[in-house]
Amino acid sequence: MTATLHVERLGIRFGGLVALEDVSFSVAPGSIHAVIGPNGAGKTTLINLITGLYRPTSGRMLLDGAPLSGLASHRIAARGVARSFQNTELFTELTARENVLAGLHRHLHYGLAETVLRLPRWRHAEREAAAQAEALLARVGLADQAEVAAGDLALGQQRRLELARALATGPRLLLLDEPAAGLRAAEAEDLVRVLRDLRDTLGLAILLVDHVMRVVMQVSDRITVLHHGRLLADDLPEAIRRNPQVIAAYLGGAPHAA
Amino acid sequence: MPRALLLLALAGLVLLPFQAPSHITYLVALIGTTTVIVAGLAIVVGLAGQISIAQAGFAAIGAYGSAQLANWYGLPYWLGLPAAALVAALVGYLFGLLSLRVADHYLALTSMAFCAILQLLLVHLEDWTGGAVGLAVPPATLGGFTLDKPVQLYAFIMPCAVFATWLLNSLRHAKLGRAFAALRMSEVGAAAVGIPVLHHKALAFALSAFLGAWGGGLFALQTTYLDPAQFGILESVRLIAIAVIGGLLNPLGPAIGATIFVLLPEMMGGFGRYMTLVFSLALLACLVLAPAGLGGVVHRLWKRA
Amino acid sequence: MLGQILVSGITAGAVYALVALGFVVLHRGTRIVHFGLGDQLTLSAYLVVIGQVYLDLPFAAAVALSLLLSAGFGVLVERAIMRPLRASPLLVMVIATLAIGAAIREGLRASMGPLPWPIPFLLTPAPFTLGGLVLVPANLAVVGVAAVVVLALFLALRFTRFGRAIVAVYENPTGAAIVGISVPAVHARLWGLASVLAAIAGIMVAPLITLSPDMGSIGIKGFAAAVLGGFNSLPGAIAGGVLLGVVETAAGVYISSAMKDVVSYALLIGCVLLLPHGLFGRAEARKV
Ligand SMILES: Nc1ncnc2c1ncn2[C@@H]1O[C@H](COP(=O)(O)OP(=O)(O)OP(=O)(O)O)[C@@H](O)[C@H]1O
Ligand SMILES: [Mg+2]
Repeated sequence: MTATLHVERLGIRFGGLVALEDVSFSVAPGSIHAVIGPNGAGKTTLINLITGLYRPTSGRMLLDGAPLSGLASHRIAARGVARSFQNTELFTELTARENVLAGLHRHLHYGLAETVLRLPRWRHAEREAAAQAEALLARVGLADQAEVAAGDLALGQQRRLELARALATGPRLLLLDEPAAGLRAAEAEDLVRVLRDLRDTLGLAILLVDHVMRVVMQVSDRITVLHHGRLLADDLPEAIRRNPQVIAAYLGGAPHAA
Repeated sequence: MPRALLLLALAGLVLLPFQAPSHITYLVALIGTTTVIVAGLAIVVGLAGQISIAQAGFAAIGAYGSAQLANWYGLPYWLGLPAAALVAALVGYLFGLLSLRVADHYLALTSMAFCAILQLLLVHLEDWTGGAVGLAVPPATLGGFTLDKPVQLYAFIMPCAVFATWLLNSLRHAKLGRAFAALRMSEVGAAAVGIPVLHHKALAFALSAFLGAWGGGLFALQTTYLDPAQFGILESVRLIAIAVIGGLLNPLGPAIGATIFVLLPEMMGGFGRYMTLVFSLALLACLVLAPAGLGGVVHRLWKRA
Repeated sequence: MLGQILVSGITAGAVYALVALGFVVLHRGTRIVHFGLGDQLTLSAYLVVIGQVYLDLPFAAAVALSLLLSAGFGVLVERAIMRPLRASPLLVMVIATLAIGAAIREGLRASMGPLPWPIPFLLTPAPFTLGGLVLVPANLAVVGVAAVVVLALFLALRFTRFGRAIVAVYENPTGAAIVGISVPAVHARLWGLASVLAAIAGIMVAPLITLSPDMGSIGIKGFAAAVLGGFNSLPGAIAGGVLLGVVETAAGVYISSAMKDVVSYALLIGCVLLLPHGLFGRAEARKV
């Protein structure tokens, strides 16, 4: 299951602040597409726009040709867009397992009456969901933490749990906001493996926002660079690595061309 | 949780009316009524984390609604009570939709104003509600029999209380309960996994109003006389206190809280007029010292054992 | 008619404005909405009665004692209850303030009885007419006292160290802490200040309505006024109070006196829904 995302001339302003302006790029199906840029470049804002938390002031986003703009967050999730958050938004008092089960919400089809009467439909759906949750937790390496409250997990584990929760929704497009931040080297290696696995076995399209260049350069099929809310470059990793404007932006100098 | 203990308690509830004096039967049934009303609060405040100071108002809809349906149209309670509760659920759903615009303090305030308006309407729409003087509740009838003895009401009320508790327990293992809990902890997180947040907030209010109205209708049968003073903000606050002291996240919380709040004043006798004061202070102590409520404390002890 | 509505409305509004100020003063600094503030009005008014009846104090001394004890009560509540709950979820704090209100109300009901108590007016109640308007000295005094209190509050916030520390915490608690202001100490003062504002309102309003343990329900009016004013703005609270007083009085005249309260509660709900930041407040966005 995969999807194509087109971002077309996207822009948003907060009062006087232009957070994104005239940004266009595409995420190809079954690819890992990184979005990088210095702090405040507008990366998180981009993800918030795609997931309907913010409304664009101009431009639009298309998922497989259908516009996402104007849809409520939960409807965008229903279209197959899942995400993680830069500062995790887990259900902290629920266990890891329950977090993943909450991610399966849309795939559980039974009513309140069936729940209260414990009818077979409820029992089967919950049993199946429990199995799926277990598999997802195993996939991200949290099988042993299933009964731990999400808030009590270590940061790296919380990131992975958010990934598992996002996968539970059955996405076609996955948006990850700095999944590698604060990870130890070994954990970052694990992350690289998991991302490749998701792309290659599930065929997901992944939009990856991160500052950790080692991870970005290893996994990305294509990279978009944002700077002060504008598109600075959109190219293959090798070309990005050599792009003088990108180097200048990261070294703090202002790019010459607009 | 020790299942045997619960079964024992259930057996006790079944046997109680055969053994206990009718005064006790009445009190236990009152605990049952309170449990139903407070179970609603446990859903909206405890699970979904939406502050509602309107539960007494929803109880009023159930109480006045089912009584007047019987008075005006001779509708039997087994029809009138669900009808009134469904109306309350609808009102609750619509009220819950307001949470699109307001949250937290403002939601608490709005629910408070809503409850105050309902109570004022009870006082001033005299033709419909009997006004400040109050309203006599016609007794329930079932196939020619009149249900007015404490034992008969007990037999009608206690299954409702057990059901409300069971409902709370069931929610913990179902998508609806998890969705409520999810939106309590992170609304953006909930929306990001495809949970329609506004709809679920409104649903929590609807369920809560349904149980509140159902319990209110049972309460009407027990007291036999309704008075607007029983359904104001102060009563809403008392109900919240019961929910918190019982433990907001424990399915048995409403029953525990209701037991404490109904039985203690009885046992205190002449000390009774200080009871509400003592409860308020106990509530404060509970918040500062045992935030999960007495139910939570009991729960923890159980886990340890 | 219109003039008369304005005069009565402003009297009621002056009291609402003081209560609203109490809410706003506290909320801006501590992020807490004190749902028991209305009951603190009642408590302070009862303290005057207690001073007069049980301690044989003259009215002025009883008022002074009440203000002092009210301030102390506010500080005590902050120390004993709100400070330990500082890190709790909002729900817990809301319930705590509700419980504080209930404790006051029921404590008074148990100790002072459920029936109303007489409390002297600030001035004789005999009304006089001026330019076709019926004026009541006691009401004028209410407006006058409220105006003086508001003025004093604004001067204090601007020109005293005490006030400047509060304003610093309003603007930026972290920054205030960095420059050496003790935020917990400011919180305690804010509780004391809000309690004094409530006390003044309570002592003034008790003779106009009836002093019973349930007088605190007037607190909702203060809420409504604060909401109208945006809940974050001190001038907004005053404008909101006066506006509410006038609208409510007009509703009492033109619709029915029974529906007066319904109108002000409906105004509260309407304002929360349509103008969530009030007439004067500013929006605050949350980033993810
Ligand atoms: N809700 C909002 N209200 C006002 N300004 C906002 C809002 N969200 C983002 N911004 C502003 O938009 C700009 C881009 O922010 P954004 O969070 O997208 O940056 P980023 O690229 O994710 O940075 P970082 O690498 O630090 O996470 C910043 O100047 C930020 O302050
Ligand atoms: Mg970011």
